[in-house]
Amino acid sequence: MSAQAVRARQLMGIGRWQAAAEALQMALAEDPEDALNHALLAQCWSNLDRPADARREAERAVQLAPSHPTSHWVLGQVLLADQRTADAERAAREALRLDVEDADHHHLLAAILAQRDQASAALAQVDAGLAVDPEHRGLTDFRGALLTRLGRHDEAESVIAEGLRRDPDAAEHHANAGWMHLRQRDHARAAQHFSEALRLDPTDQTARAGLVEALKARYLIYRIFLAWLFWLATLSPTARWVVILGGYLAYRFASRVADIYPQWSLWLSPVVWLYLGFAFLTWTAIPVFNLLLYAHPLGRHALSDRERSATLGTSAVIGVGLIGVASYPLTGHAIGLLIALICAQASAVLYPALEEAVARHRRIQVPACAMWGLFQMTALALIFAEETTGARMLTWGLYGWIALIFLPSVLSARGR
Amino acid sequence: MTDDATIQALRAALAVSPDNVPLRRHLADALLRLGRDDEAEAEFRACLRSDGGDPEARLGLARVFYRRGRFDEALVLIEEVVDGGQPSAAALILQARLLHRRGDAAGAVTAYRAAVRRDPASADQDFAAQLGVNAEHDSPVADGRVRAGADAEIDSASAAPVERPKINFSQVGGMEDLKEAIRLKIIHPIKRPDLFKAYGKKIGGGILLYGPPGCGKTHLARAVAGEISAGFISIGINDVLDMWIGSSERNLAGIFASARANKPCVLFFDEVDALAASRSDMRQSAGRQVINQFLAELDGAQADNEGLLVLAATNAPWHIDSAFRRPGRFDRVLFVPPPDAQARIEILRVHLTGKPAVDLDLAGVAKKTDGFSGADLMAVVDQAVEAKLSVALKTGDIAPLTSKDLLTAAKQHRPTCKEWFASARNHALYANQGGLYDEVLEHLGIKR
Repeated sequence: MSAQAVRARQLMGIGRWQAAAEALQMALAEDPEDALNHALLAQCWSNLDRPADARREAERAVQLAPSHPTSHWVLGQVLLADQRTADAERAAREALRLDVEDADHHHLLAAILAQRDQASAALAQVDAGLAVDPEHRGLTDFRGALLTRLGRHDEAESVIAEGLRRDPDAAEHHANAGWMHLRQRDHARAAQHFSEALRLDPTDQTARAGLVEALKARYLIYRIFLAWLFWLATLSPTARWVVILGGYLAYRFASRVADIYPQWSLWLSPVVWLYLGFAFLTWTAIPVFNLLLYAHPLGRHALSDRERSATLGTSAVIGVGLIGVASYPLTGHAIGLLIALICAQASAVLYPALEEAVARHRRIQVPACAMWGLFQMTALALIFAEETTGARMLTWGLYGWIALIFLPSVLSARGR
Repeated sequence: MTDDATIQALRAALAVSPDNVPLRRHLADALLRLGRDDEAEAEFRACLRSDGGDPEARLGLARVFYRRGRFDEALVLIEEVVDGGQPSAAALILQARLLHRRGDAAGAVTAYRAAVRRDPASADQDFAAQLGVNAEHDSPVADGRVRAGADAEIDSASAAPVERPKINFSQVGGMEDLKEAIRLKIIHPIKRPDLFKAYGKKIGGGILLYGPPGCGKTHLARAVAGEISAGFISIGINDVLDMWIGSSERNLAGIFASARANKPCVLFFDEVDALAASRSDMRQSAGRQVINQFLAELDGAQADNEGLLVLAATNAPWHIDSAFRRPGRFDRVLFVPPPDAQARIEILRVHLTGKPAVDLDLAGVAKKTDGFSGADLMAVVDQAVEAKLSVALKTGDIAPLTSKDLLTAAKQHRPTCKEWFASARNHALYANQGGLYDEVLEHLGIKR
């Protein structure tokens, strides 16, 4: 191994990714065919948040040593970090096919499956990995997290307690415990564990996100919303859509029945309003409660930069909507209510778009939202000018909005 | 002709014939002699772009790297020169020095001998003595190999070069609080030991400087040495990493030994987190030993540390093992923030000296560059100059720099401190045991 390659490994060991990448580039200038060095360089680029370079290097490593499982494993890691889960799964499966005895390969595949919304399959993969190496720390941690996510609280509790007993100074165990308590609606203990995880590792993103949720869970309404989200997460993707569409159809049916049989509306209209209120809550809960966090000394700083800007942007839209509602009794003009309706819709699609972590997805979502917003504003202007096309455009806008609601899941399900 | 005039004349000549590689090399050599390493590096690189095989330019670039402590890169270049055939004596001497640094004593001796064979005038008695070339029988070193029984403490193979810095605190812009803390901890005890003894205050212990990269930690350390007219030994990350492979323990002992031999001396460990990391993966075998030895040397377990000041700098204080912060070791941890407005004016002034400029509103530029590090400001000046140059190349007129050019360049430059504060913020918020990072919180305006 050349001196540069040795130096690069040392630098990687102490987390100096930039310096390590430079040393690896020099080592590769001497021997451009060294697959392992290409793979290591890919890891450096991935850590430096340069996904395209990381991918190029990892693919080169695979090309140079197609029978070497490490190259495929690194490629899978790099692709997962860039949310290209479909390709990542292929690479991880190839790594596993080449060496099924490596627990890290099982770990990677499980992480990808979990990302692809296949928690049960991920758990099976974790168990396969633990059969190879029962002491693998990453796998035991991940098992606890997956059991929590699947709502298997008793099993999760024993796995997490065992982890904490074995290694009380591991931030991941505390983060896991925090999420478990959050799902069990004990937000105070959850916040304690998240704070401890962050004390041990201030860069732990899982714990940071958990702390944000635990702080918001101090409010009853948010706890209801969280319970709903957690319950949805335990369902399979198909079951999830059945529940959401079922709720919507039931609402349509109830309001229809109330229209036809006015004598029933006394019973049905509270149900209809409750559904609408809940639907509105699911669209706006995250930005609204994030905004409440600004009053909390730690909460304000716990939000990530992206969360902060998404919260402020969406809150502004909600604020405009509220002004619209308030204007109705004053002006008596229904346009205020229409503005409020559009703002309510916008808040549901704007927050996920602005907060999207994957840049290439964001580049699709944000312009799509902007175009939709322009379209709706044109519709409003036409309605204001008493043009009949305005009302028709508003209906089309509703379909566009439904498409925007589904856009993030479609993008992430593609996994490319 | 003064040096600057020579440089200007050479530059003017090059403007007429930009493809004249020997002329450009001549300019680069002149710049290197004047210690203007940045400019020299740029010119040598330009030579290599025009003529990739020019061994003289390669040698020049290797010299720049050597001066900057980028020894591995220097060695790669110099080996290309040597492998290219017919290397000059100067190239062979540099190769010998580089190999010697790396611990390849036999290689160093071979290269040195080849150099002297080629040109007897290139012989360097001091270096030859270090290598043990032509050594007498009682010398502890012979042909690069330490004789059995020779005392490791005086093994000069691992000794670091001792500088005598000419700068002092008056040349460090801003940072008044920091300078005061350093005076109290280091400078007064050296200058007035009687006072400290009268109050029974123990003298010693080191200072750990932390902060975003490029904000003058190294500059400050060098100024400390200048302030007390002490020697200065700077140990960079590459020296530290070298310790992890090979005869590391002796390296560290050698560094401390040569610092003690040059008392009073400031021993400065740059990027000390590479050495003192608290990460579990660094605690393995060889790594742990280096850490333990470093601690023993700091404690002065085997030798007296009086007159020896240990300073360390890091961008990542959170990676430093808490054992390093115990009393008597790095018991003062000081935050070196990005330069304030006044310091930014000073820094800009320094970087703009000798460059054509007209009615510069440096205060205005400083105001718009809040959060920029010294290195960032240098980059801003560089970018502004480059922009002017590209215009001058087209029009042929030398237009002076204006505030507007600097502001435009500043807008395009993303301050590197930003990223540092993003991670420092997390550590200060969540892992601020004992108020270690209170200064970071204060700087960010976060109240908890």
